[in-house]
Amino acid sequence: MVTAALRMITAKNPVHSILSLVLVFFTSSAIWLLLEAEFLAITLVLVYVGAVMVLFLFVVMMLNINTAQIREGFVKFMPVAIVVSLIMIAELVLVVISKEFELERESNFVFESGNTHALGEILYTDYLLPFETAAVILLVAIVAAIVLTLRQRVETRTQNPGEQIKVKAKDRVRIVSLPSEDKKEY
Amino acid sequence: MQIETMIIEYILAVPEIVLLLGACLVLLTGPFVSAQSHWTFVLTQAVLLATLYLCARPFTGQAIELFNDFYIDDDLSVLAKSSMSAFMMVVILYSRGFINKYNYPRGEYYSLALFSLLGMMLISSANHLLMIYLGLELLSLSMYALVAMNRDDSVSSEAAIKYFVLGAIASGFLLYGISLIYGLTGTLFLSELSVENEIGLGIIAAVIFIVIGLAFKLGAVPFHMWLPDVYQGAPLPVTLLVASVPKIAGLLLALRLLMDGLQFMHEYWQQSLVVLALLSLAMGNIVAIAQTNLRRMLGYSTIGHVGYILLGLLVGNQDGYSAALFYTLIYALMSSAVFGVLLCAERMNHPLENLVDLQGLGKIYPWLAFLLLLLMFSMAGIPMTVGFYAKLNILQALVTSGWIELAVFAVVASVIGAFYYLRVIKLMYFEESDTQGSQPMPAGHISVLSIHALLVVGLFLFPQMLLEMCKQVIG
Repeated sequence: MVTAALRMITAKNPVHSILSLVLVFFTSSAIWLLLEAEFLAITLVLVYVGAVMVLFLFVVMMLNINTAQIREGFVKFMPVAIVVSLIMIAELVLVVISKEFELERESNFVFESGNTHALGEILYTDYLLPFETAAVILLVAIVAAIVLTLRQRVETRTQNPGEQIKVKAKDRVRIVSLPSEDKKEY
Repeated sequence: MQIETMIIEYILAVPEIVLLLGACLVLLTGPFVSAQSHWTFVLTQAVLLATLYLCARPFTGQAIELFNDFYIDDDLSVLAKSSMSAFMMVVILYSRGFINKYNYPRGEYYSLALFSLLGMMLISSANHLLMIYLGLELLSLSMYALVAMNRDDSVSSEAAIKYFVLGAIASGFLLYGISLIYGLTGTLFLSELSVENEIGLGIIAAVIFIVIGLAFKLGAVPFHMWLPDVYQGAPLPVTLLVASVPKIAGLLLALRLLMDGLQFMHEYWQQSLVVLALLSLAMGNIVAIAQTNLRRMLGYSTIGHVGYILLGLLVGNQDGYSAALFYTLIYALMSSAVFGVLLCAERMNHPLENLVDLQGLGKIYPWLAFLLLLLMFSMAGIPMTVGFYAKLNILQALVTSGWIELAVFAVVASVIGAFYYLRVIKLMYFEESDTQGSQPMPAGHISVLSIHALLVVGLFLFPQMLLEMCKQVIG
């Protein structure tokens, strides 16, 4: 996983770095599987590898990004990047070692039929209302996306099958008789 | 037993269920009727009427928790839901002319408005931080789409982008605060939060994040940047919608979070609310003076009013909460009526976009100008209108709990604010204009608007009932 992650940020070709990222996701999902969190593992593969990364690939392949141009500011922004990453590392360390956020470990959860089953059961019983609300939110997202993109444009060219069938040969080909011209001397 | 409790749960949540099915029905009706058809409008109003009928019930003083305690059905939610559905009916009625005139996609417009109402209703009866967040997202998503509806206009798109980005940041803040609370207390149920008595640094940070998210959504300074732009840039009916119903939902959000959930942290969130309220009062009222665009001016006036609502909230006792609730209901009433006037003028091809457009309105459309005069008086808080009682209540709550400095500041701010409200009246009645009013007033629109605007005088004469209701639901 670490190798793949390093490959991801060092690769010259953006397509290679995306493929390495896919490998990162696969390996982290394998770690989750080892931790017996098979639902999270499946979701990670389905959502990130199956949908998000494919989208990324499409975008990268379509846009034909000039990598040299992006790399220009690398040295210039290096100090800022180092500061930001140091802050993030410090935060992570603080959270991990702090007493405030310590929770009792409940490692002896035993699911009889796997945690996918358990999650499903709790989602459709205890958490029914939030689950349904989330479904309505997704519906609104679909409606909103369609409202904002669908427009009847005047300049759109669409086919009209009825008109196409009704067409006759004389509408398409017009035979014009032209007087033959004399050969010109150049 | 299991079946019986389930049936009771569904019966009590029937307004939401009807609203959801109605919204889907309106959405489906859209493509099947012609573009000029009025069926979508009629259907929307029928759904809203049904929701209002199912919501409204006499106060019982009891709170019933449903759906594994995710959902709470109490008097506060009843008052909020009924008033929100009633306001939504009025908003849809005012919007209709504009939607028809400019050919907005009707089915989508009406159903998104219904979905946003569903989100607001879920917020008002949320008993769990997750439900609060989901309701808020449902409301915000519908609003983003509505604000962005007029895509060809660059001002409108700018407003939509600002609204979307800042709204997402606000949700992020709120969610971060919620996640901290979950990490520290191990529960998200509002009623169980209060049991936690140990106050550490972590929970203070969580409360500050939640207050910031709340301030973004309410539009309090310094988190107000989106508000004037949205007021100016959104299509007029959407501005009307943004300016009225979601304010009640915003207050309910604050009440559920701060009163139901975090009352034990009162002394901590009080300090942040004091700062937010002072800045909002000062900034809203002073910057509004400099505006030349009427809708932008109303946006800043909203910020000033949010300052008043926050003053009521920060007192943190029954008086304060009920004063804030009363103020918000009255504010929603006034604000929707003002935008109703603007929509009415727009329908008569006399759009009131800038302050200059108001010149001579008293001569051109005397009745409309008179209604606007009443509303401006009410917004400024001048006696003979209910806006006076709203402000008086807040001040009373402040003085009785010893915040005299804040009360003095609020009075000074409202005196400054009176300037730009009175300027509107001066422009209407004491300036000449050579425009002639030729269009007849749309009868349905103006008659509802008249009743709506005259309510500000009516409620001044008989405020007792609404005041009592606000006290009762908080208690």
